[in-house]
Amino acid sequence: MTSFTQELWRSIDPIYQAIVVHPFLVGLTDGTLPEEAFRFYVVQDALYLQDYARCLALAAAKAPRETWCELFADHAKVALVVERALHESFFAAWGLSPDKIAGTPYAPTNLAYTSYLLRVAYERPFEEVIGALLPCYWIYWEVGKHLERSGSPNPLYQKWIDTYASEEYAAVVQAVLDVADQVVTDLPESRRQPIRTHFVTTARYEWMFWDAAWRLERWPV
Amino acid sequence: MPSTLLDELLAEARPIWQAMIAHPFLHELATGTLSRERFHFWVQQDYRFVQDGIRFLGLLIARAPDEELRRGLLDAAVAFRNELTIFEEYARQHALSLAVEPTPICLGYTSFLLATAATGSLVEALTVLWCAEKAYYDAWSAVRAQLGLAPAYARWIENWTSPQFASWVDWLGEQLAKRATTPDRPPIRAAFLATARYEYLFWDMVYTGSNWPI
Repeated sequence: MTSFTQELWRSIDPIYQAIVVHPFLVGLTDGTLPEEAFRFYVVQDALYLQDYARCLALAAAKAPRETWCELFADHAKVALVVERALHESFFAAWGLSPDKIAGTPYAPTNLAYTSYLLRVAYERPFEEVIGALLPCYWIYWEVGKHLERSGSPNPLYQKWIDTYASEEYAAVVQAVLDVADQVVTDLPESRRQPIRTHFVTTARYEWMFWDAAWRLERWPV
Repeated sequence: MPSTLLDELLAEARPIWQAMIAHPFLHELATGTLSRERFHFWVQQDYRFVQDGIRFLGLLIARAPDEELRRGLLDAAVAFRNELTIFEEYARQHALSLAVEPTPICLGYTSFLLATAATGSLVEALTVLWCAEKAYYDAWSAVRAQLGLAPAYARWIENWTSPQFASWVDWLGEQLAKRATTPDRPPIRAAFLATARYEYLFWDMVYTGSNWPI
């Protein structure tokens, strides 16, 4: 029988296929990605992770089981640890201080995506929050595994790929997938449908996030 | 905090404000040349915006620390409810469906409002609301200056340019100005600019029909 999360993944297959052929991701592995776009991406990702951590903390606060509360509280902390690690592994080499990163404006797609996550995390029930948070976890895992196969001639890009292709990261995502499958067990269809909607919406935002970095997206006014 | 705060915010956002007022959507609306298709797209998307606007006000009412602010916001929520009726009656007359998916700009803007009300400070949320209301007052006043109360758009024009709406916008600005402290200024500026940009982008989105790229 198809699990709920397998069904979710199937619903975003066209989006995932578009992600892996996006010039940003192709450029990571063949080395053609301009470093300016990569830098734009990593800086925006650092801003994103700060808000993602807040959403994980809200998920923890809403968790109906103690173990899930613990899991998301832990992941909230990990998101911030990863954000700080970006400073050491990338920003220091580029001469970007933590203040400089914090003072960088959110790109339009990033502001829309993080605002959407925050509103869902604040307003909606636990299972819907998980639905909105899941694509970020899961797509990065799949992308990491996909990119690892070809690797990158650019050591900077390779370092980034290694993070998401790691076994530690796989265990993190698998734990969240298990929560998502368990939380829907006794839920009626009417409460499953909004989970699917959030999942597809944030998967779209994932594609748009890569695309924004590729275009070095700016506010038009 | 002197009310120069409001002037400073408007001065900093002037280029965005000018681009908004001069946007082809509003220009064509004011000269009676706007296509019905574009106007209907605005009706559908702005309806979604007002729906979420009511939730935004609900969060703000819950967070308002005193009766004065709570009552003012509650009146605004009632006014938003009446706006929904204007949209619904128009949609009925023109057999237009209001059950549409929000575009990325519409969803981004309303999510920004709700995320600010949920996790921002009270004054940041008041800033976002004041900016959005002030933008609508100025945009629709510019339309009214050229078009008067043209029957096709009379209810919208009247709604957002009436003396009652003008005094609500002023009252809200005063509430913001008197509650903002010096350390609040940087987040207030950021919230104001982001909202002004979204106002521009909203008109641009309904004009160009921009939608989900994937």
